[in-house]
Amino acid sequence: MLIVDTLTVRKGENDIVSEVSFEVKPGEAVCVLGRNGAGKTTLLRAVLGAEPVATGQSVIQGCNMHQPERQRVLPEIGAAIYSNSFYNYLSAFENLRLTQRYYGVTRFSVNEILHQFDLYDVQQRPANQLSAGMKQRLLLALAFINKPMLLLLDEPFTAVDRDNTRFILRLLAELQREYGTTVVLTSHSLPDVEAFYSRILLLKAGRLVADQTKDEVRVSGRSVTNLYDEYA
Amino acid sequence: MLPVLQNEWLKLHRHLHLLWAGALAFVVSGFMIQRFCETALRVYTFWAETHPERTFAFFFYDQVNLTLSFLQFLLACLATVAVFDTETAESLIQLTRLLPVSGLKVMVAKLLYSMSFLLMSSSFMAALLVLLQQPFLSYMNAQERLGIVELGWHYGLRALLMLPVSLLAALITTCFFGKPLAVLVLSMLATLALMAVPALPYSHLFWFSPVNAAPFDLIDMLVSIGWTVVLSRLLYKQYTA
Repeated sequence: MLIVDTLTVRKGENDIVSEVSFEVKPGEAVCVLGRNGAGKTTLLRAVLGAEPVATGQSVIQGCNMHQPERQRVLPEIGAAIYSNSFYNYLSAFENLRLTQRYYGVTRFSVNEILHQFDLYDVQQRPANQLSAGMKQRLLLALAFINKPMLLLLDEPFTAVDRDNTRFILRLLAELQREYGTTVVLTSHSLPDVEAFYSRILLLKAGRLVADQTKDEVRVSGRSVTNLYDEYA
Repeated sequence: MLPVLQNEWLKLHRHLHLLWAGALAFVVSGFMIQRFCETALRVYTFWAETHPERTFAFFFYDQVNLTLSFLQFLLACLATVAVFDTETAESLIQLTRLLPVSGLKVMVAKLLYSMSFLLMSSSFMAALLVLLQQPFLSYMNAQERLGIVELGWHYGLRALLMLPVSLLAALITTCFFGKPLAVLVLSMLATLALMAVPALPYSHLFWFSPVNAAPFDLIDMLVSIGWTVVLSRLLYKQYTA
């Protein structure tokens, strides 16, 4: 599904992401953890090919994401890697319609998506007038509108209250169960990650310092929080 | 290409009120008041001379002509802003990184809409000019009528010249600043430069040309720029509030 091979992202003299390699299998729920500035967001953007890389590559379904061939696989990927990747002056409905047209898909009607992401009642409200939780749900809805095989989410639980966090977690679990969507997300919220992950990647100063499956974490008798405290 | 055009229209339709509100506000603003005050002064001054009916006709024609010029220019600027304000450089980059859409196609769609708006506004103004100048033709001699015809051509030519310059100005400012006001101001200045220069060769064809001296036009332009900037700023603030 996704192969990341010795990926390095350099800004100026600094390596923001340094020789990171990992592989993600279909259906996995991979959580990338790390402190602020560890390079999580940059890694996610580089994986999608939205960030230029110094060395290495990211390959999704056989397509190198740093070559023009990425256009071939983009219709199969959903990403919420920018906090404001919608048009503020357009309504939730219009943002979804717009994205649906770019993908050229009609697998779901916009109304169906609005219902699924609990945005139906606020569909005519401009995106900049939505609450933080609603904006997060809109970002997820936009990322999911093409029913992607791979979902890349940057901090989906940030600035979201408990109810919305639970809603997003339930939704992600549903998407995985019903459509077999592979999810790669970054987060700071360890309890939420605990409830969702099937694999943990821990980044420290741009380097991958731990890569463990849920079973491995369980067998070691630790929790995600223990792992985070130990490595991050 | 069709979905991209549809999407650009979706983004654009929210800005159309800015276009029409700007044009209307401009017409009823101080620019018009200032123009009419100036007309009254000029008519009064020349009434004492021997050609009152010709004087009045030409001054009225002068008002129509210049008002339409500025309106054309304002519509052109607002049209350009309406099209390019739908996207900042950042949002365009994000869009093309996240979604399977070509940035080139999006820009082509924007250019198509922008050109349509500019051509529509120019055609509208040219048609109005033809209509409004009819009552005054009988007061003119052959040379002056020729001047009117040439002025008609000048309108068309200016519309064509406005197109690339406004678009270029809008593109440059959008890329570097992404700010609608910067786009508006730069587009205005570029278009204004185009407006001011080509009009001069025709002035010798009119018997009242000495009255139409540069200082008057300069005052007109400065007042117009001031009002347009203030109104645009107000509209933009209200729009983004």
